[in-house]
Amino acid sequence: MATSTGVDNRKLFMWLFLASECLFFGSLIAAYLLYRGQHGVPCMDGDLSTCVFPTDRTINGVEYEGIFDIPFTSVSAFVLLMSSVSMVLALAAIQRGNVRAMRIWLFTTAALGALFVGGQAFEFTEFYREGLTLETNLFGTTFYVLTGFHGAHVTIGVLVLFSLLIWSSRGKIQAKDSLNIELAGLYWHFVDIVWIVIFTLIYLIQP
Amino acid sequence: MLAIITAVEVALYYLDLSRNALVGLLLALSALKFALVVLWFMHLRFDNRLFSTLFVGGIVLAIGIFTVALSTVGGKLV
Repeated sequence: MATSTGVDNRKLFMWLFLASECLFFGSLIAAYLLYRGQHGVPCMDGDLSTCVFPTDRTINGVEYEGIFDIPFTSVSAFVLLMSSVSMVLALAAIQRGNVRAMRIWLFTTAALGALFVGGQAFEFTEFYREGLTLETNLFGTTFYVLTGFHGAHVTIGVLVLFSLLIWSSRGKIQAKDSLNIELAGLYWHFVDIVWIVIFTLIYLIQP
Repeated sequence: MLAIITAVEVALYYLDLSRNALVGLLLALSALKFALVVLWFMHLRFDNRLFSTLFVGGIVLAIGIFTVALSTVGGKLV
């Protein structure tokens, strides 16, 4: 599709969208880093002097520093990285005209993504059992909002991949339609790189 | 390659390194993984420069927000 920019409009839109997503996740990560380690108490009637942010790291009296399960999250990070590899293989397959291989790799990517989301649901459940909820403190609020939005992005990606699978099963995706897979791949890889940043800044570099 | 870098990151987490060394190494390895995925998996290395400009613009703005927010409120990265 010829355009005045010389690039496909759909691809241009996807990159613009991803650039805006950088700002979105950048804001959430900045908020998390600002508030982590702080046990905030809500302000009373807008009186700032009542906003107390002591630096203790407790959740209902329990230290939260050890709440992250690094081995478990490392496996989750590995799963998401491998899903990016299978996405690359899906795109390579359709560009060669091999629809069957593309379906296999798309399914693999979607399954790995679903596994990642399942792991996150398990992690959230464990944290809730420990007493860390959205309302517990500022750490809980910013942590759940950041990782929850990332999980929502992965979930949307999984739904898109399954939609593509259904579409291809009806014969609507051939080699000439490889841009559809490429766009889904760009979104999927972006979700992966956001997790690369979250995994390092939130899980490995703790206060 | 990406899996190996992730394994190294996790190994570093468990090593008894100084905080500055740990943070420096983890940030460097994370940036390397980020660059590998963006340049090769997302084809930014081979694609139209307009896409690179857009994406790098987004990242620069995001880092700008990040820096302003942290410095305004007195937050710290580590």
